[in-house]
Amino acid sequence: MTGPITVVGRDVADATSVLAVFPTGEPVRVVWSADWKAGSQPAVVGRAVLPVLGDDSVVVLGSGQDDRDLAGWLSIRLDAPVIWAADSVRRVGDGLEVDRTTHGGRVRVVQQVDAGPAIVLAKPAAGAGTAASADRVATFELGDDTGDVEVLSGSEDTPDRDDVPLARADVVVSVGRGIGGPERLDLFAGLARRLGGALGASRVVVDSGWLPFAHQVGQTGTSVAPTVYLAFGISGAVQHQAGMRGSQVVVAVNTDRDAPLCQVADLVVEADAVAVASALVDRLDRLSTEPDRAGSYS
Amino acid sequence: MSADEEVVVRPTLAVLVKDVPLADDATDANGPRGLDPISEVPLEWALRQRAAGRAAAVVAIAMGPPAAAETLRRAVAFGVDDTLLVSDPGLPGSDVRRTARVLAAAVDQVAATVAVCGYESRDGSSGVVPSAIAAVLGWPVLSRAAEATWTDDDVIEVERDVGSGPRRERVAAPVVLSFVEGRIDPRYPVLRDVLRSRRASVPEIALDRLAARGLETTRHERVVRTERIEPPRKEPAYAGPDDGPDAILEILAEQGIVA
Repeated sequence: MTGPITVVGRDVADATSVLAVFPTGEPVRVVWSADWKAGSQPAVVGRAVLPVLGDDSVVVLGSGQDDRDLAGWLSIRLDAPVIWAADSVRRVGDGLEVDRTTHGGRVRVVQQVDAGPAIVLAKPAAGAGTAASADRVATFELGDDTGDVEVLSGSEDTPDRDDVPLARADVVVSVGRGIGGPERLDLFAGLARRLGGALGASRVVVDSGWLPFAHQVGQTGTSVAPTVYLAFGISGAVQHQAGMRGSQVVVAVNTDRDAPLCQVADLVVEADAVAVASALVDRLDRLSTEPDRAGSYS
Repeated sequence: MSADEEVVVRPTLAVLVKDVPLADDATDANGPRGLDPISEVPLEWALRQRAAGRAAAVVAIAMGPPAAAETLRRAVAFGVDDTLLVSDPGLPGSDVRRTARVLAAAVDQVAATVAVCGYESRDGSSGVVPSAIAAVLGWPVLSRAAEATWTDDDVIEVERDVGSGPRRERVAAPVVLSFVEGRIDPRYPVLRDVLRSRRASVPEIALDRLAARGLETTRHERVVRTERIEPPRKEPAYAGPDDGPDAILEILAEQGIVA
């Protein structure tokens, strides 16, 4: 029989943000440590968390890079199979059955693993509550071991998955290479702010260093499911679509109406991304300065 | 080298490259295959280190069927010194653990002390294998590196972003580095090198000659079924530069986002 399901995270909220992949009522154990900083060596985190895990535990993690790194270490140490990008997880017989979607949402793959330890990387479901009951909670400590790596600079604060505006945002303003360059980002960040939303980005934009990884929408980055997804200058590779297909209304602003994202859009604005964003900001400015609407956007 | 000169042992760099289906949205098992584009980034980085005198040699390693030799020939066209193809009837369908154990053994086999790879493969895209390799080797892993600079004989400074913004870390070899695209622009092999690479022989090694451990594991995840999801066919509305902004505002108003 596959053992208890253990979710590992940085705090209870972080850990429970992946619980939506389980059926309601599945008992889940939460194991967390505030010492688990961004970029911590997986061997250090792994050695600390191992004693708290049961022998045949099913370990559930999120899908961030730190989660992936820990999963790799645990899979070798526990000799456990890894299932990634899981949309849902349920018990079947003595083992587990997991659904994941591939090929940009066009194929659903159902995988099973027999009784014993397993590692599941869950896709954080945007806007999802805690479907399961976190009936047990434990902590682990990391100590001073840095795993032979010296951190020279950079934040160790991981964006808390439960606090990442992107994953839960009602509006996502997402930018691709079509916006022209990083000097245009302020315009789009401003638009996102004005709409009470979050700024997303394609992988190209993040890989080019225009925005940090935390903004990346897609298979590798964050999955979003906003009411409105506004994509500016994003062609929309399958990897990108995998992260935004839960959006209710999709608007694609692109000079190329044949871009893949335009095929899943509700509205295609065939125009320059910067011009449309500027015009939108102007109109929103005018709306907010109309006397009867004053304060609407404060 | 004169006898009183200090002997600097320069490391061998292993670049772990992958042979993948190249077609976008590849569901066809018989479609074209080749070098994973993400593999070009660690290849480029390793070759730059060799050019700067930091590395003694660059060895490209892949696991795959005999046909994957073509992918390693592509690495030869880039300029690697040597290649190693791990090929064995027992390898197809390898999971994360088996892949990591085999590749770690191959890194050992070529006596490399720095192993570099892409942060996730185009087809598998678990992003888990680099740290699993590091776990087998007992080395640290720095994932999602944008750039890495050698500062001393065996000390490397790595710039990376795991979601909290850019950070710099210092690590001594041996180490596993996984790279993202963006900062390092891979070269484009010139025709002469491509032609020469076609004649390159690619050494093959089977599992029984590789000191990989733990391959007897039998508890694997397995695919029980796959289903085609037919996305609802949408017929989008179209707007242009003039009516576009108002059409967007209308949607935002309909959804209650703006008044």
